Amino acid sequence: MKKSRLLRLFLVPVLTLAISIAAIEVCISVAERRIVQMIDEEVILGRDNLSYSLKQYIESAASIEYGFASSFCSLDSSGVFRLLKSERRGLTPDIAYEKMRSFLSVYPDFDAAYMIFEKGILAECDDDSFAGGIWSSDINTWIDLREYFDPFNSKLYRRGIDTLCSNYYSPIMDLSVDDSPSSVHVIPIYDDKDGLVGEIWFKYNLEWSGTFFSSFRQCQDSPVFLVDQDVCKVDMSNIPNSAGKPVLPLIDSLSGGAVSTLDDYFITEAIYYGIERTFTLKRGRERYRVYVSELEGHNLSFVQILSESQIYKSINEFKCVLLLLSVIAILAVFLLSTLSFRKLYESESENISVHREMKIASGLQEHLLPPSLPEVPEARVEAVQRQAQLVGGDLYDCRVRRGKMLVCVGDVSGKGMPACMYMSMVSSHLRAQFETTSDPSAIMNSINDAICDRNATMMFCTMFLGVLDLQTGELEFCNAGHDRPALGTSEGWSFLEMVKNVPIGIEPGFNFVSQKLTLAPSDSLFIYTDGVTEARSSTGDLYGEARLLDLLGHYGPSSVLSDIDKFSIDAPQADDITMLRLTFKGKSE
Amino acid sequence: MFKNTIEHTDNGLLIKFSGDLDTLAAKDLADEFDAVLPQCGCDVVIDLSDLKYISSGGLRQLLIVRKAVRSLGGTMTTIGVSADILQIFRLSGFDEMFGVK
Repeated sequence: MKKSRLLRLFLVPVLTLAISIAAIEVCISVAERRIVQMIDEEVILGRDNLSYSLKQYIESAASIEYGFASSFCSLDSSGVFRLLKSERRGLTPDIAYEKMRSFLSVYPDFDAAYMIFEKGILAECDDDSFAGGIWSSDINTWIDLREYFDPFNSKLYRRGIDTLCSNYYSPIMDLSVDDSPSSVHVIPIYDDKDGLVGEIWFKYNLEWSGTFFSSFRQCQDSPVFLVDQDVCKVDMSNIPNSAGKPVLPLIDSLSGGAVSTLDDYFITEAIYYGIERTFTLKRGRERYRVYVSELEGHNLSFVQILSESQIYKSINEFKCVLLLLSVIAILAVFLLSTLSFRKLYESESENISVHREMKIASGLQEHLLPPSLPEVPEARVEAVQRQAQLVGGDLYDCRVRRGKMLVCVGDVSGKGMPACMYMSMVSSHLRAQFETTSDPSAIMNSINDAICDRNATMMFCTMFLGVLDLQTGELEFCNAGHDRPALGTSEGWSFLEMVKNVPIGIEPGFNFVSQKLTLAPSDSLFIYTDGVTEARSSTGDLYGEARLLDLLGHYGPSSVLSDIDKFSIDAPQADDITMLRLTFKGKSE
Repeated sequence: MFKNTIEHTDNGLLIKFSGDLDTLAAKDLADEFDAVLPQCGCDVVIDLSDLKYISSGGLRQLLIVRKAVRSLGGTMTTIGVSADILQIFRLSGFDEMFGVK
């Protein structure tokens, strides 16, 4: 195999494969970008809706809380609550409890209310601090927060010390107390010199907002966080809507410590990167899409994290299927084309060599036929032959020896190479025999015995053999199963009646019988093979003996051949055609 | 279109040809007979009543059948030979060989 063919066989499919994979990759990456864009748009829209709802909720709650705080302390021009010395006298622990109880009885949406005051601030608490609260589930029971933790050292409380502010909001999750996340709204209370004296905490359950967050989630396992400025977070996405407990542990912002950090890394990054942003983070081998947006005016941000493998899961599956299909398709096309190419190549080369050999055989066969017909004054011989294939099984011969002219037309059963080889055997025997005798039946007997000697294939040869005495016009002939020749005399044309003989090559030892007739000057004998009478038209009709006989009165072999061509126009030549006409002119002077 | 059926009878085989038995059809036939005939060893009757045409290749096929049957000690006869086919048989001297009945 040539190098260039090897290249063509392997390089072409490999290149095709590479190009189609590249094309698929380009399409997929375009689709990926578009999908990410769509998800971004959807997330941002959902987030805007959510932050609007949450803001409404918080602000309506805040206005209620402000009313509560205003009942015992004053609001200065900058919006900061201050408990003046004159106001402290009227606020005892009992009054504080009573205020909280009546608040919760009016607003049962709030989970709890706590009032925390430092040592010596409330009346009747000169030597002690106050950290009392009431839960809406049981408004007649007082709770002292100090039994659970030290509220004055909590991160939540200390924010009021660090920053002078009117209020702030913090999502919390105190697993020791709650089974669902809450948010705490804090109203710090200062003295007239900006010193923090206490705080009011309003706690309300965020369970309701879980509905928002759940519908906000784009896919499973994509957490949604609320993040406050101290990086406390609540995983909203896992808030149960009706029953069950949060799956993921959350931050306890009261004690300031992390109970568990699901994705602290992301939260830190989210805060670091800013308030309003969408970006991609890489953690290990996985990439995440992170959406951050601020809840305006509340020091809170939403954070949503989508794993890119989640986003691309379906598109990756699609990509794999597409790649697999294209590989299969290309391999199939490659295999088929290679196979058919090889087949074509092999059959072509086989055809070429067979054709070459056939041509050689055809050349050899031509030598078996008389190169030119003998020209004698007593008789005229015309012959035409056309084979259906390059080589054929028809034979004719015409020889003159010692005043006798031999004419012979034969037809070997079958066509092509086997018929040609058989014919050449018959032909060479014929020549050899005619050298020794001019008795037609003797020639036939010898040829038949020689051929029958080894003829397992049962091929046979029909043959008309005639020997004309050029002086007398006496024709002795022997017909071995061949088509009857036609005899043309002054009375017209008719087929010769034949004595029955078998074809050559079938019956060993068969005794061939010959016949005799005398030709008058101008009488003609027309010998042919069945390729003439069995030529078919395109509609399947046979040329037939009658048509042949009609023509013979006026035309010779060449014209008959033209007529056959006219008859079987558009139909392939099925059999070899051979025609020979012998016309006796009479004794030469 | 050539068709043939092979039927096993009490005495041997009954083979029926129909259509045109040309060289191409004869080639297919040869393969089929190769499988059947060696197991036969009996008389073979060939029904040619529906045969329209026979080429020299077809004649040869009949000769092969005849030879195979005879070598196994049987005989071959043809029945239902139409006038056209009989003419072909006669011209080539095969009518006696094929045991035309």
